[in-house]
Amino acid sequence: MNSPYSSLATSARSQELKKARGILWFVGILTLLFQGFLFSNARNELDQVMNAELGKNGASLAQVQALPEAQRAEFDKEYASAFGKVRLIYGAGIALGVIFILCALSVDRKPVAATVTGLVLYLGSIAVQVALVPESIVQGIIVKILIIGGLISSVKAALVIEKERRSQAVN
Amino acid sequence: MNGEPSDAQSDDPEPPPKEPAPPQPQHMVLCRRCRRFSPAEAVRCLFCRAPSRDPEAERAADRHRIETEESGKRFSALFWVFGILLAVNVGLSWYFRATPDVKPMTESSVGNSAMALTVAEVVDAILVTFAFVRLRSIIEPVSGIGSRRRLGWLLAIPLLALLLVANTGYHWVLMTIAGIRPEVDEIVASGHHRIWLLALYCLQPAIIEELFCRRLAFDFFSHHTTVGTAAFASAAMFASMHTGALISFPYFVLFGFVMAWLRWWSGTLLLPIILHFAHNFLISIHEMATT
Repeated sequence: MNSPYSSLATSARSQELKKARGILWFVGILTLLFQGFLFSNARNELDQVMNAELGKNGASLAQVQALPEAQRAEFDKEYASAFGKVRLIYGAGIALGVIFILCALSVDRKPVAATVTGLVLYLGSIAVQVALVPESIVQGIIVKILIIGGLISSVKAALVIEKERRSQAVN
Repeated sequence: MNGEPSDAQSDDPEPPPKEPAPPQPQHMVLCRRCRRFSPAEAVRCLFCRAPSRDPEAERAADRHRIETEESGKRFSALFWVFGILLAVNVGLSWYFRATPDVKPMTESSVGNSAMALTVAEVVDAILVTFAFVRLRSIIEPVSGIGSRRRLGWLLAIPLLALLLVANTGYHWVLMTIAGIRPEVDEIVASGHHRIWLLALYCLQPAIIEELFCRRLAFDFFSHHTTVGTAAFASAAMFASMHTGALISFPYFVLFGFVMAWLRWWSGTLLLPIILHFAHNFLISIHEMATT
């Protein structure tokens, strides 16, 4: 269709995709930075938690680490496993940030796949956060709503754009 | 007078052959402001710059707008169902966090957990069934589905085997790299209420998740995009629904992608349901046997 209306509509939808790209870049970079910091700080965080847990029994991490190696072998195993788990969780967070950026990069080539993946991943990550820390549901709620709203309208625009591309390819 | 015309005719040079007229626009539209004609292709009137108005184009634009709105409404409906499914998952994890940790789990504590799971799955089932009943007439399977029925059924078992190998391999690599000891599912390891748990882990997800992801989401996306992209988008939705295992996201995407292609090839939802059931059943049985 070459009518002025379709041109205007196409231009509006392109704007939606641009917006989606911006949102995905924003979320991706923010996730990368935040999870990267948590990943690099994982040992300190674990030490704090361990200290708090050991403190309930009147001990501290420094005291346990001062024990001979043979006596703290089991503790060391548990510590290493917990450390691995924490790093794995934050590593998954970093991977999530990378996926958001990949989605931002592929918005033009694969609009539907990129925007749908970005939207459902963002919602999934919020659901995980809320499941672990219920209070996080209200943290930055306005920004979250804006991001979700922006991504939903982008998905709708992407659906129309891909449908048009397909019909043009057929014709 | 009689001779003149013949002389004049003979003296007059032949009229030059007409040059072919420049190609005219197929369709001209009348400007509603200056009442002059401009080509239909022009976005604005060539004379007064008013936006062109072509009834045919307007009708097409109207059709397009209605289609776009309808497609947006369908996506919104799917999205709401997806959001509520996520919320049910979150509610379930809150319940598990709030319940005191009993180790090893007793029969009654396993019973309580299984009951909470049952409630969540019943809510999911009601929601997805309601969505299916409301949307099935407007989200119809796209034409071309089921064109390779035999191939779909033939590939089913080898693909299931590959998926199981990929599942084990992916998690093994992840655990080895991170240096984590594999965790056991306390509920499954308890050994209580096995049949009930098997039904919860295998039967409901196989039917309800396939109905939502492969019937509604995949069919909806395949109306708008290529089969591969539709399979990927529905697989991403499927993976995000498993909030309890976000680390396994890549595996769930792969699983959802394969199931969507099997649905496309076979044309039936029965094949993905059977394979999903078999997949979950084999994994659950393996966990029960090893713990």
